[in-house]
Amino acid sequence: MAAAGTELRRRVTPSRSMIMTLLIVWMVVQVYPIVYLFFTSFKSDAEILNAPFSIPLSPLLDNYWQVLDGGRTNQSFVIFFINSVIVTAGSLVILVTASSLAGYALARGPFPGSGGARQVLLLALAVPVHVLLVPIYFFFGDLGLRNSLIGMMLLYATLGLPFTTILMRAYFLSFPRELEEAARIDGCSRLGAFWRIVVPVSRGAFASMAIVNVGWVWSELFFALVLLDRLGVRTLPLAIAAYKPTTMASETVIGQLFAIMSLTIVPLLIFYFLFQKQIRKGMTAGALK
Amino acid sequence: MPTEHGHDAPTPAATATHAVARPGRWEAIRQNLHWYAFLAPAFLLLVLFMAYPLYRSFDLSLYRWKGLLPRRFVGLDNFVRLFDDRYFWGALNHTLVFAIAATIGTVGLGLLLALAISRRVPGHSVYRFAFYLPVMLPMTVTAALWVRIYEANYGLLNSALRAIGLGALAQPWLGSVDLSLGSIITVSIWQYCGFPMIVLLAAIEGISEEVHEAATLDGVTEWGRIRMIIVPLIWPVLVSMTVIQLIFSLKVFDLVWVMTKGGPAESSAVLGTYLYRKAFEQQQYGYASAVAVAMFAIIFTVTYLYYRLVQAGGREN
Amino acid sequence: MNSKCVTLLSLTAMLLASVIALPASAADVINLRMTALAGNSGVGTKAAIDAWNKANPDIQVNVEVQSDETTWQATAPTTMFASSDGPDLSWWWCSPAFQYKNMIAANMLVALDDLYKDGMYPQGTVNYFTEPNGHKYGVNTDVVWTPYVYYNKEIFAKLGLEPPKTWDELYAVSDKVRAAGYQPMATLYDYGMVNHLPDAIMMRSWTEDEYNALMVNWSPDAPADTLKYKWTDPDGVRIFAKLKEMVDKGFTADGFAGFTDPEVPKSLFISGKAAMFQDGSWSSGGALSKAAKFDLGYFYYPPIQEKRYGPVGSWVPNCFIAFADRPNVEAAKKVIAFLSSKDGAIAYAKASGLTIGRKDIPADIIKSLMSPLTAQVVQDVADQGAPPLFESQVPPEILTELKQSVGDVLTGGATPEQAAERMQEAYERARQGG
Repeated sequence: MAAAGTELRRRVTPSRSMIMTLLIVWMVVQVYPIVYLFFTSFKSDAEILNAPFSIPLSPLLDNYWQVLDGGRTNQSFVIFFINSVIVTAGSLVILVTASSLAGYALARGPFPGSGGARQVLLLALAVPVHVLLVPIYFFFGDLGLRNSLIGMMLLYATLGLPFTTILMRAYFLSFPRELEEAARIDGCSRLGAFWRIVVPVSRGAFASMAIVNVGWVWSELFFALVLLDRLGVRTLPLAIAAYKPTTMASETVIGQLFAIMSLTIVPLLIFYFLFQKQIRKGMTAGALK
Repeated sequence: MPTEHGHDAPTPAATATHAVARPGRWEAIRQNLHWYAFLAPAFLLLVLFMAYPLYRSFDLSLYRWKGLLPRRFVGLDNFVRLFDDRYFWGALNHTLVFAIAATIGTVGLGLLLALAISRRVPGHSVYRFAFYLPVMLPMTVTAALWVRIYEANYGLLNSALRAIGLGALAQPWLGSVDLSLGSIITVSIWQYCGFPMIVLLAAIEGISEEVHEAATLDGVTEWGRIRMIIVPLIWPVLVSMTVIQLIFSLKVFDLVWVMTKGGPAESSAVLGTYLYRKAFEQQQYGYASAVAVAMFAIIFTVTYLYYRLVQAGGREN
Repeated sequence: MNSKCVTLLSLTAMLLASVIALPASAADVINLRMTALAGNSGVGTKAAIDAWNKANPDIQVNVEVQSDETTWQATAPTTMFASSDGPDLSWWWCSPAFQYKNMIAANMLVALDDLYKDGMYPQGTVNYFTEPNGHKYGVNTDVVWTPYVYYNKEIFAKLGLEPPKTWDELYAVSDKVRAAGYQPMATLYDYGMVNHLPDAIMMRSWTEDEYNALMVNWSPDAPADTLKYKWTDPDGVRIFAKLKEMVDKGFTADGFAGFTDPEVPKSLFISGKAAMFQDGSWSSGGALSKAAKFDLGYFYYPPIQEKRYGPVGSWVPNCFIAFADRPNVEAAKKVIAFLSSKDGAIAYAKASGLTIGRKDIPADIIKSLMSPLTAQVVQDVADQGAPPLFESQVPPEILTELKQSVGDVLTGGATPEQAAERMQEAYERARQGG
C-alpha cells in the first residue's frame, strides 16, 4: 500500500489534504458531542443554562458527588454499577459462547437442518422485540427469573444471538479448515478441535463480538425497567432514568443527569480502548494470512 | 437432545451438497449429532426466550386485550383495522424512508471513511478510534445530547450557524413536521457510521498487496482502483453491512421515541414507536401485536427481496 | 428423682415454649412493599412513610421509587401490579387513562370506603373517587391545577408590560417580547402544548354544560341529555381555531414543537431567554423560583366567553391504592389510613411541596407548608373554582385522539373543522364500544 501511495502522489488525485480536512471535520463532528457531554457534567446548572457549549470555567465535581451518593436513586451508584458489570459480563460470555458454537456448526455444515437454522436466525433478526415484553414478564415470573441478574443475562444473550451468530458464521466460513482437520486426524473430537485449535486463534473475533454487543447490553433500558423493579438488582441505565426530567419535577438536575451519563459511558470507552487491538486483528480470518 | 425446530426442512441446496455416498435422512442426522450439540445452547435460548414469547404475542394479534381483563377473540379484525389506519401507513412510510436513508448514509459514509483511512493518512489510528466512539454511546445519551444540539433557539447547531453568518439556515429541526424525520436520520447516521467503517476497513485492508501492485502497474486511476478493485473484492461484506443496517433501521425505536416520541404531529413516527404507543400508551395490546406481525412480515420481506436482488447483481459482477 | 424429673420436664417445657414462641414473634413484623414515582410525590411519600415506620415497628413499609415515569405509567398495571408478588400498595393516578378503571374491573384493588370520613375531602373529590358501584378504591394524595403562565417579572418590567387580561393584550405582549429579542412562551410540547393548553381553551370556549357533557358523552353509558353536545358545534371548533391563532400570532416560542425534553423549555425560561413558561401548579413551589433567580409571577389565559367557571382545571386523581391479591391487605389498609390522615397528609405535603387534597386542615398549617406563590394559587382556586381536567375523565384513546388532533392543528396539518370532526368520530367509536 505504501508503494502504491508513493506512485499515486505523483498523479492528480483527490488531494490528500482535502481528504485530511474532511476527516478532521468529521472527527470534530463525531467527537464534539461526547466532549460536550463531559463538559456539561462539570458545570453548575447556572453555567449550563447560560454558557451551554463552552469549556467549564471552574469545573465542579458537585454533580458527581451527588450522583455517587445516591441522589435521586436511593441507592449508591456503586451497586448499580456492579449489577451492570455482572449482567454485561455474564450476557457477553453466554452470548459469545452460544453464538460461536452455533456459528461454527453452521459454517462447517451443511447437515440436515442447517439451512433451516440459518433461515430461523434471519427471521429472528426481524423480530421487533418490544412486543415480547408482556409475555416475557409473565414467563420470567413463572420461571422465577424476574428481579434476577441471571434472568437478564439470559434475556440479553438471547436478544443478541441472531446477529452475533450470523457474524460468527461468516467469520468461521473464512477460517481455514486445515488446522482442525489436522487435529481431528490426530483423534480430537469436534468439540476438542474447536476448543483447542479454533478458539485460541479466534480470540480477536470473540473480542469483536463482545465490542459489537457491549454497547447495547450495558445500556439496555426498556426490559430492565420492567423486569428489575427491586432496587437491589437494578442496572445502571435505570439509575440514569431516575434523573430524567419528570413532568411534575421539582428541581432541575441537568448537571447530575449529565454526570451520571458520563459515568456510564466511561467504562464503555475504557473497554473499547483496551480491546481495540484485538479487534483490529479480529474480524477477518486474515489473522492467519 | 434438541433437534430442528419443526418449522424448517433442509433446503434443497443443503441436501444437494451432501456427501457423495448419500446416506438416508436419519442416517445423516445420526452422523451429525455433534453439530446439533453445537447448535443446542443457542437454539435453546432462542426457543425459550424468543420463539415462545413471540408465539404468545402473535397469537394475541387475533384478540383484543386491554392488559388486565380477559381477552376477546376477534379473528383478523385487528388486521382489517390496520389496513384502514392512516397512522399505520404513515409510520410505515416513515420507517421505509428512515431505513433506506439511514442505511445509505451509514454504509456510504462508512465506506468513504474506510477508504480514506485505509490510505494511511497521518493520524489514521486516531480516526479509527474516534469514529467508532459514537457507536458505543447509549441511545438515551445520544438522544439527550442531540435534543440540545437541535434546539431551535439556543441549541448548538443553530448557534453555530448564526455565528458563521448562516443564520438563515437555522431551522426548528425537531419542531418542524418536514424536518423532524430527516433530523433524526442524521443522528442515526452520525452515531452508526463507525460500525460499517470498522468492518469495511478490515475488509479493505485484507486485500492483498499483489492485487494493488498489479493494478498500479496497469496504470489504474484512483477512482478506478476503488471501483474495479476494492469494491468488488469487498462486495460480500458491503452487502452484509447493508442488510444489517437495513434490518436494524427498520426496527428503530429508542432513538425516535426519546428524541420526538414520533412527533410533532406524528411526522417522525415509525413502526417501532407506533407499536409502543398502541401497546403501552393506549393499552391496545392485541392491535399492537398485529402491528408487530406486520412489522415482522415487512422486515423479513424487505431483507429477503434485498438478498435476492443483491445476489443476482453480485453474480453479474 | 421426682424433683429432678419435674425440673427437667419444666425446663424442657420452657425450652419448647420459647422455641415455638420465637417464630411467632418474628412473624410479628409485617414487611410491605410500596412503589412511588420519582420526584415530588416520591419525596412526599417517603417522608410520610418514614413517619409511619417510626411509629409502627410491627408494620414496616419499604418505598421503592420508580426510575422512569412514562414507562412505569405504561407498563406497571399489566406487569408489576398484576402479578401476585408485586407491591402491596402504591402511589398512582386514579384516572381512566392510567388503567385505574381496568384495575378495578379486574378486581385488583382493595376497597377503601372506610377510610373516607365526612368532611375530609371536598365533595368534588369524593364524587370523583366514588365508582358506580358505590365503592372507593383510592384515596387522594394531593391536588394540582394547570395551566399557569409563569412570567419573568424582570423582563416584563423592563419592557413596561403587564400580565394580559384579554387575548389582544396577550398578543401585544408577545409581539413586544419578540421585538426585544426574547422568545415569548415556552412549554413542553407533549404535555404543555397538546394537553394542558387545550384544557385551558376548552374551559373557556365551552359553556359549563358543554364542558361537563363532553367530558363524559364518549361513554356508552353517558346520560342521554349529554348527547346533544358535539365537538363539531361552533364552540368546539373554536377551541382548535384559538389554538391555531395562538401559534399564528407568534405567542409560542420558535421551534416549540421540538421541545420534547422537559428541561429544555424550562431552561429557556430560567436562563431568561423566554419571557413566559406554561406549567402547572406544581411549579409554583420554591424550586422554580430558586432556580430562576428572578422574580416570577403567573397569570391565567384570558377568557373567551363571558361566564367563567374556572381559570384552571383541577387534577385530583393522584392517589394511594392497595392491591387485593396480596398476603397483608389489612396492614396495607392501615398504612393508607395513616397516609390519608391529617398527620400523614401534612408530612406528605411538607416534603413534596404539593397541595393537600383534604379540606379540613387548619388554614395556618396550610399556609406554613406553601410558598407564597402556591398560597396565591390555592386562594385563587378557592375564589374562582376549578373544574376537573378533561383528561381525568376520559379513556386513553380519547386523550390520544385529542393530542393528535391538536398536534395536527398546531403544525398546520389539519384545519380546526377537520380536527373537531376527528374528535367527534372518536367519540362515536368509543360510544359503540371502541
